[in-house]
Amino acid sequence: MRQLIQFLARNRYFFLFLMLESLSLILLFRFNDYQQGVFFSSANRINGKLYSYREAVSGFFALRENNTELLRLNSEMELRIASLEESLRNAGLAEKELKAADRYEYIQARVIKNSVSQLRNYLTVNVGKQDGIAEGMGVCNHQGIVGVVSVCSDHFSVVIPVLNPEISFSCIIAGSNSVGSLNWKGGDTRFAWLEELPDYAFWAVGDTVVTSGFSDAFPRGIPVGVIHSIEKKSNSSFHRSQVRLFTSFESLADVRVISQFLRDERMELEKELEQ
Amino acid sequence: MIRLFLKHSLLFVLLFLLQIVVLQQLYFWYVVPLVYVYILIRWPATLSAGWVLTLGFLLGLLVDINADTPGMHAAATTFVAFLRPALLKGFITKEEIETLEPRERSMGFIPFWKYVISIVLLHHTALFMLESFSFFDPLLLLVKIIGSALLSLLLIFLFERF
Repeated sequence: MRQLIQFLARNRYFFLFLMLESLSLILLFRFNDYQQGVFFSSANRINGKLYSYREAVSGFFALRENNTELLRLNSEMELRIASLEESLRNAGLAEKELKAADRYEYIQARVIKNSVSQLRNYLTVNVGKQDGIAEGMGVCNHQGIVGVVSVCSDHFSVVIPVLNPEISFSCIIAGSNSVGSLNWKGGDTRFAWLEELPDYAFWAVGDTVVTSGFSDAFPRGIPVGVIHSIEKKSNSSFHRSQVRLFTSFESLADVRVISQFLRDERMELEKELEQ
Repeated sequence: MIRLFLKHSLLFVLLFLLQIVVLQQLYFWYVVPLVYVYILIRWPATLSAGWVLTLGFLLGLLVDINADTPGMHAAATTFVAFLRPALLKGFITKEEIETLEPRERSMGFIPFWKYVISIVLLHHTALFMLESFSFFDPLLLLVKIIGSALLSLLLIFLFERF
């Protein structure tokens, strides 16, 4: 016993190191599952506040630029609405078809913290449970898809963006019904991979990729990117292709969270099936 | 003694804020300067090894909490904090250790930079290896380690001229 104590005392420096290092590694491997990261995440109050202040300063300097962009978008939208209404009237469509678009609501949010240089990136936005945000909701901006809400506190939420290998998105090639799964593999932030595309699918370089609407996070048709190159595997009936993303993740500022009115109903139904 | 304590506390706060508010947000082609190791480099040689370990761990943990990377920076910083006393002893002579604060002026150019470069390289290597644990791309890993180390060293070089 005495020898043991002496041994420990002699090597206490080394044991302290072992203890702290294993503590870090436990944190690393236990908390990396993003749902468990609530304690560490920047959705917690103090960090959320700090990042809001910083965003207030940096946001101020980008005001003019953002304004021009918004004005441009606004006029573009007005033009599109006008032409859409025109063609709807021409086609003689009833109220019913227009209703389908009403199933979704956008909640405006600002990115107060963003990372793109890490392997697993996260971003924090300034809306939370009290603004109607729930875990699993989709996030996009005017360019295209951004990510999915992972955890939310009362006033802040952490979003897992496309730039995180832990998440993948169900996508289709616009105009066809070929479903693939979009996943980022680290490295270049402009490109992600679209995988599990069936052999027989018709698609080519330059085709647009949009969300499929099969998950509850996104409605069908949110823009994702353009097919940049195709990789054919000779021994497999599935292909994968590199997709150039529409969203520029380095300069995310305004995003919208997509809330689905019938989300609860749909989730309940799907849960019933699982049981 | 109190002056030394205040000086290091101030250095801690300033460099820490620089790291999380400015540097962590920059993005040059996968590469992030990690100057917060300079805090650990500067601690006086008289600080006991146990304290260096504990403070190193806490420093890493604070960066982790802000970067949403639980345990990653803590593990890398604890690792270099463990090796720091040995490195310091290796690069300076016995008599100097008593009062020394590791700086270019007090240690001399070559020993100081040997010490800094070893700490920065060990720290960055440990950190980026942990980051790519489940996801291994050797070339990207090398780019990240070398690029980030060069940027960190450049910044430390500038701080030393202050």
